Amino acid sequence: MSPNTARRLVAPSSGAQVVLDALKAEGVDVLFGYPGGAILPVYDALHSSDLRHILCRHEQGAALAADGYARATGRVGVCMATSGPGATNLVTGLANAMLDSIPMVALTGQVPTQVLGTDAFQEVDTMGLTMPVVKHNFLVREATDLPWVMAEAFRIARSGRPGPVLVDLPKDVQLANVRVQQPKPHTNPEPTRLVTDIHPSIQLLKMSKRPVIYAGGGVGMADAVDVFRKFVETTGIPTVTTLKGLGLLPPNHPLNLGMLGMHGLEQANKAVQASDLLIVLGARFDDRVTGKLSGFAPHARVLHVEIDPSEVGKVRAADVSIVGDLGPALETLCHQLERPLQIADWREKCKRLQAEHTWDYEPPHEKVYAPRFLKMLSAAQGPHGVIACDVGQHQMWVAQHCGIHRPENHLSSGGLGTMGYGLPAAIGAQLGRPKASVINVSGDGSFMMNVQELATLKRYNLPVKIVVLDNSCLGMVRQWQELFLEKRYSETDLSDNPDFSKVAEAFGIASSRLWRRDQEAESINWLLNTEGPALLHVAVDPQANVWPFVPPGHDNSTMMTGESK
Amino acid sequence: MNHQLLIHLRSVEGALVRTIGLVERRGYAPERVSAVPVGSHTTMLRLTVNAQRPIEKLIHQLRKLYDVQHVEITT
Repeated sequence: MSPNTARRLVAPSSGAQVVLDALKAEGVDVLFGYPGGAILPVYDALHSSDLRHILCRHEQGAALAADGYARATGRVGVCMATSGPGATNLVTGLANAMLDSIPMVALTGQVPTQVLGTDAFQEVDTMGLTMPVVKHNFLVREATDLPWVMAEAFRIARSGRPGPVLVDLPKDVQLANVRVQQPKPHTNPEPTRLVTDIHPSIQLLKMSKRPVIYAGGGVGMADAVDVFRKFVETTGIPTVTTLKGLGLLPPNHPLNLGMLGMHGLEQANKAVQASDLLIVLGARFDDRVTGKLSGFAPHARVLHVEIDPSEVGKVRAADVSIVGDLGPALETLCHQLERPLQIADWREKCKRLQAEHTWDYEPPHEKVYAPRFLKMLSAAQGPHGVIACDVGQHQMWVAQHCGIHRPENHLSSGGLGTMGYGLPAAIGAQLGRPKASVINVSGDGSFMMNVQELATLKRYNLPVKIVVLDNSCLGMVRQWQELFLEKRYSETDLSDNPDFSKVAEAFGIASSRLWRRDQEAESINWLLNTEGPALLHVAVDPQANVWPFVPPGHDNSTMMTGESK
Repeated sequence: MNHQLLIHLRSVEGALVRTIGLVERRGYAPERVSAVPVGSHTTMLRLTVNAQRPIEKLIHQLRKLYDVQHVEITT
């Protein structure tokens, strides 16, 4: 028996009931799933439970909704599916959570232990199948193990660098009548104290003439946004963020140079390329961030602050590193530094870079210009709203042009790049934050990947607002074909898309169309003020590309800027 | 270049596959594998891997596995 259990003995109950009791002990208030044969006992116990279950229409939708819930709330997202195809359909959602370090617990039904390994109906080796895409997984063969396994699953999911954990539950284990000890109710862990010697970091910071903070998703996930902002204010260091780091600084903050990387803003990439010190906070030198690695920030030394020791030096060597919790680390750095670094010239240079690269939102045509439309949409939604997007051109336009004020307000599939993420993620976010305005910005390609979740929206009457930016093609792939493959548009034409307004109507969801830019304000007003779920189908220019663009194989000093920007 | 690793694992279902699978996924080639139980809760895994990448990076990844209790490079 694990030490993670209490000493209180209870009356016998089924394994399925023990699982639900464990969820309640962990503070779970909602879970996402889809029933099936091998998970039936848990669903039967759920029928008389006060846990809220959200029936998604595909297990991938359930997993991505749990991911969206986790990102928007900071809590562990929970999803559930049956064995075989139920489990295989979860895999994309698990991989999505793994690559973006999202705390999730997935429960899967499994065939009874007596027939495991016999190719039984709907049997698949869920444990083997999911090993590469989870932080850990368990196959529970004894019901008496359930309390400690469930408690461990939640602890692993949220501890250190978070991630998804899967618990595979054979049907006989769910049905077993057992007398088990109940797990202790979850308590927040004690805040950790920094034990690293901070002086080498302070020295590096004080020596630097051109420092840049490069901050990633780890800062928000460490619940360190406030201390991060204090660190930026204290030191006065110009800051760039990754896709997952958007919102760490308010969009109009004078030290915020915006997102860096392949579709990063010019001022962000130029500052990083010219820097002599990168302060890397909760980020991992992803290839979409660095471009050609040997040319990334070529003059910079690196101070890497990171909770996962395997990330330090994995891609780029660190001159100094602090391995640990970001909150205490930044607090200590603030305390030691006390006042802004003496880098007035550098700050001034970064300001000039910002001024030189303001965006022109008035292209000379009457079509809807996606960057302008998204800027207007985001302004109308206000600073507290959540935007969940899919993957492709629209995802980059959201990152570049929507004003993100907190990282938990921007849900985007970063590492895995999962088309179809946005709608289920928005559903999860809306359930986790019922009072928030939640918008799903999607593309015509991505939207069709989890379109069935419109039924979930309608079933629970969630007021998620959907924008489908429709360019009748797979825009980002088309862009690469145009620029690098001699305009050979192999399988990227989607001009036979369904009528998305009618699709929404078929699900009982209000819809409207936006074809011309003079209708933009009116359409946004309609969308945000329609009660319940609503979909706005927006026609955008099929020829439009995302700029800037660091072409593959180049470093971030090579930014294609196109002609329309 | 070859390295010999000594790894102590929890003796639980999946631990061996999980560990060897990680080694391959991270770009290292297991060349010799032997595993023996030590007591009732631990398995001692001796692994020779061929590595084009720095072995320390693999050690960091192995240490993150829940089932791994101890890792050391023996040669």
